[in-house]
Amino acid sequence: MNSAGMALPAASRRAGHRVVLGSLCVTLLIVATFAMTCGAMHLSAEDVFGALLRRMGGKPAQADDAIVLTLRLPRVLMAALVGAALACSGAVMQGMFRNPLVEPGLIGVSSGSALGAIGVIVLGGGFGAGLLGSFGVTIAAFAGGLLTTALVYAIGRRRPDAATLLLAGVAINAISMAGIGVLTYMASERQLRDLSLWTLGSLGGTDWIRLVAVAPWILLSLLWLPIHARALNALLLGEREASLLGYHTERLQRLLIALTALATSAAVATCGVISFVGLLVPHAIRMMWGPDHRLLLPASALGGAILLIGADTVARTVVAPAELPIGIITALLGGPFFLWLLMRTRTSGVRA
Amino acid sequence: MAMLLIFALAPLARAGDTPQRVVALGGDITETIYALDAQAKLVGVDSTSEWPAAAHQLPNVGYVRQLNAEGILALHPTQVIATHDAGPATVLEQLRQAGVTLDLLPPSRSPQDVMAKIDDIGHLLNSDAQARQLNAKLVQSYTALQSRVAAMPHHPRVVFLLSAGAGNFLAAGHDTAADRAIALAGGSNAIQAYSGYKPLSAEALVAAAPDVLVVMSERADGVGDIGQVLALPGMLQTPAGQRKHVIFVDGQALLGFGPRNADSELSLQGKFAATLPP
Repeated sequence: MNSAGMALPAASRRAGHRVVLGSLCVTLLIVATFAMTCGAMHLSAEDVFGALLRRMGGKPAQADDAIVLTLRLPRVLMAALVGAALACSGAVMQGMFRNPLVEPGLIGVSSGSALGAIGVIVLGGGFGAGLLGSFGVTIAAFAGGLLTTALVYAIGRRRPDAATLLLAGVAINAISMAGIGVLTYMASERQLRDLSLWTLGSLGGTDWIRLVAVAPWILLSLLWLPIHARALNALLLGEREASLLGYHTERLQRLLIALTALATSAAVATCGVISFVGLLVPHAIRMMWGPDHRLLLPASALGGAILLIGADTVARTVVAPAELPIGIITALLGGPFFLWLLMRTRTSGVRA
Repeated sequence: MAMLLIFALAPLARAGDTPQRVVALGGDITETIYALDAQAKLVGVDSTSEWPAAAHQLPNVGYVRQLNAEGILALHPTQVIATHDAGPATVLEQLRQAGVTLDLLPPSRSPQDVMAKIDDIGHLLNSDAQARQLNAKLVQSYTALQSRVAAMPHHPRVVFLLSAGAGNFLAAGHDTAADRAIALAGGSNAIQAYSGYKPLSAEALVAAAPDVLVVMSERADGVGDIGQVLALPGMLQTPAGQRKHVIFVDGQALLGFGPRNADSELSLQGKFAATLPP
């Protein structure tokens, strides 16, 4: 049960946490910087940083500055936010349900968002386009994710335990998938392509407006969730044990579900379904640095951001000038890395 | 002579301008640009631009509904010509903000639409003369088609199969490009119960009683040759199946309603006429 880190005195453990988070921050900066210099358009590092400096210094923009400032920068920031949201929510869900197979999608967020988005793609037509413009799909997906989570929670409340919540999530997921099936049947060939691409995820439509619209929901959750790291540590012992330690488990669960639903719905609504990040990033972090949520939550957020910025860079460069859906890349990049980690930790005897 | 003079002077008139760099988004638009012999200006196409084969040599910016702005901008276009369903909308917006001239052409489902599209593209590429020539040829073809269709004693009932698998056929209902293409070639779509392309059960196929089956040859890998089409459940219980009246068509040429539509309609009409009951 006790990893090496747990046995250390509190002061040096905190120092260890700082080293891990610090190095993850540095990695994030390096990956983000590298991502800024990659793309279909060949721009040198000077072009990219010149564009940023000119913008900050208020100097007149040069020819390709718009590529850096209106396309790449918001996209890298969006990848960081969405990756952090998915991975941190995954870490919280796995801790709260004490189940390593849980991911945010299991309480209905992804399928609810997908139902909302696909509903607008198939039925929206003139209505969605006229009233909400290109935001119709995003808004419907956000609302769909929050609604299904609320429904799962309302059902789970009647028998407040983690297993009931999970089973309610499974049932709601099944119903959402049936709804998506009906819409798929009704869809035209063109709409079929739209909705199948949406379910593979993409950061392609990112602009500053979308970024600003999504950021508050994700940042709220990212800043609020780590405050409950100790409570999540206590929940690992069991719900009864946590309440004996003075935590109001039901209220805690309600808050954690609301925050993860906010963050993941916002992420899924803007970028489509991006699998793998929420499930496996927290595992990778746990295998490397142990299960203490005080480290796990911020480290997962940073790890998710790094993975998604990297994946998006690959997505928009390998088949340039076209681009691949990012869900394919997260699985292709992350899957082998995770397997490698799994084999390595097994042979060295470290437990996740 | 006047024509020659225009051709000779045209480059001079625009000598000061930067050369046009065009990205075509949509198979029908790429076809039209080649038909106007303006492909020298083309610097990129989308993945639905499958004809002519030369278009495969150009950079491909991806599927027309899932474009990305940087990939298109990397080709430094001065002009993007897109089919009506190019997207996503945010990417089109990003292109406009980057200062690229973007023209979205309306959907086309009729000879008039085809010729209007050719006129539009010809105008955007300063190839008005070529567009007029091409349209003059198309008017002849469509007029010939009209008179041949008028001379048909019977109009066969047609089912248009997009693909087939697991006992279900994806068949074209009313309000589809296939429905319009069938009508133009003198057939009548036997599927009027729904709009769009939907799965059709074997039983519904028998009930539709088509005289002719039209199958997209692009999807032949899913459907197979004529023997495999006839082996599909319910097929032999239809008049088309019993008389082996199965026609394979180049879907993009016919349904794209581009410059190749007239010829494919003429050939389809010929096959409809040949499959009439004796």
